[in-house]
Amino acid sequence: MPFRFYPIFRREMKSYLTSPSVYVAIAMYLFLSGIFFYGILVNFTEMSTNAEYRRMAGVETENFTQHVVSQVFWAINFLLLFLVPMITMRLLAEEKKSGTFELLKSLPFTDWNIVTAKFLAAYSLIAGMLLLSGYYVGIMARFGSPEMPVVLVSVLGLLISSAAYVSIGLFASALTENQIVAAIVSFVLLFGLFLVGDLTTPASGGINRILETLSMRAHADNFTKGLFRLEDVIYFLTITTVFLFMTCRTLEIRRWRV
Amino acid sequence: MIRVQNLTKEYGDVRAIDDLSFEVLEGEILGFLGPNGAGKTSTMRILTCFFPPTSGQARVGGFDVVEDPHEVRRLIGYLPEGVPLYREMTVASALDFVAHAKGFKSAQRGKVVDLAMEETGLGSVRNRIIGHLSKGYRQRVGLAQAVLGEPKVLILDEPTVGLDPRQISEIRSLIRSMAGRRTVILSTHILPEVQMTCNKVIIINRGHIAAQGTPERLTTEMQSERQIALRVNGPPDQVLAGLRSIEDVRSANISRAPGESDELKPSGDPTDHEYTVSTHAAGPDLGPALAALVVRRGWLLKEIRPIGLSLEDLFLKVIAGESPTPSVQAPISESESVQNAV
Repeated sequence: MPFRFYPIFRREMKSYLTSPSVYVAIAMYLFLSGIFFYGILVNFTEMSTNAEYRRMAGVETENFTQHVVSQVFWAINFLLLFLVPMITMRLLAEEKKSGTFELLKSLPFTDWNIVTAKFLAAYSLIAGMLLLSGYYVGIMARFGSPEMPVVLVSVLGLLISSAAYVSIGLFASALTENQIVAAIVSFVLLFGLFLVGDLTTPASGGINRILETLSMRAHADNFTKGLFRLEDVIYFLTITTVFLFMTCRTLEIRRWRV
Repeated sequence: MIRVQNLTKEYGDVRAIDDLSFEVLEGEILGFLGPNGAGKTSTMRILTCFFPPTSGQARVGGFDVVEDPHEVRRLIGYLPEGVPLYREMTVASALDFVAHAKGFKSAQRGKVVDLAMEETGLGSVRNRIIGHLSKGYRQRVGLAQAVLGEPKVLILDEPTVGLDPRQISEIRSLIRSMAGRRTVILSTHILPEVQMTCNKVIIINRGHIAAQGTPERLTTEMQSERQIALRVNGPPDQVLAGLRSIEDVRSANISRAPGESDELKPSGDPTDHEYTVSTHAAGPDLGPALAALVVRRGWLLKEIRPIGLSLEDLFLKVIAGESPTPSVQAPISESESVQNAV
């Protein structure tokens, strides 16, 4: 049966949608991204109404895409780095702490079923959350002049990169019984991968290339700039797969040892 | 139905299960008895495919737990230790999840959930949140998850821990009612539980099987002699001589002199002596002969009762038999003879 994971997915979604902390996280996301959106818009308005500044900096209203769209999506992407661990931290840590993991293992599921279900549940929630903030696009289209291809690529980019974030969060959750530890480990992993590109120095040539290739930020930036490149997609899909695989292995190793 | 051969499980340097072998036939209720840390939970976790054994083999319904974990999981209902539950869910939705997980289509799910709730008496709390239920009800939810869908094999890890006496007897009678229909393994460190619910017992200690058999057989096999206690008001010397004169009596002694207090039973009349008469286990019941003697001689017979070795004594004896302290060491040959007999 190909959809063997579905019962766990369904249960997980139900539990997300009845959990107060999830609504707090969603509210926080909408609040913070709203503030960013507002700030970016106000900033842009000031910039474009200030004629003198416009002349000096050469800023034209045509640059709406660059100064608003890209900025908004970059901010949302940044917020996700904080939000995803909050959503994923409980996925496996809670099951292990409460012992329900043992119940789950006694039911006819494989480790892959469990991992897939958990991943898809958290990912659906994140995707839903992103959808909720879709009205920013509406506002931008109504009052500004965004280049729609850039918006499209940015949205797609967010959906692709958040899959990688969720899989990293899920992996962290598999490592421990403690949700707080899981959250901290995911933060460290996410920010580590996000900022690893900033370690480049002019002196080291070959290493720079590796660091830049590994850097999540460089790949995510391409999306918000409106660049849809296959290698960025492959990068995030690879990260997702690798961490899902490692999650699975972690569950297995845990069972052999404990 | 369940066959375990030379099963060993090691956690690092610690050997939790050491070369365990046993078999449970279809419809049997096996009691897994042992002190904490004896390896009960480890064995059950192997049987439920939670983790694989270090070496050895375990088969459930003909399927190997390492090679066909999926098939094994389809056969079993498991109540893990400590009754883990999804506390934020309602009883009905938690059971619906388990039914869904066990592969029931949505049309059948309502029916199997109702059946499981009926069997465990959960009807009145079906829409309550599990976390808000009392411990007894939570235990039943765990049991309902295990029995849901009529699995052929039930594995229950300490199913009555932390319940009040009435709940305990309810759960026990529920388990007893499954005899013949399902194969059940239950673990406990409470002895009467095994005596009341199981038709086969395995006493496990430090990962080894210390003894196995039916509860009755274990208690009788462990006894090399039968003992009868008598409380008699009469001249001690004459009584002793009289008792010893009866055929088949191997020994008779004064076990308690008058005035000597017993913590459990304060002696009634200070002139009563209590005697213990032993006979060979295979010998005839001496009760009537002893009573007749006492009455014939005109002494007063206050009490006569057989001293049976309870499972509790047996348990302590078996456990002590493996303990390194010589002062409490029981003859090892005895526990071996039980194993051989079984």
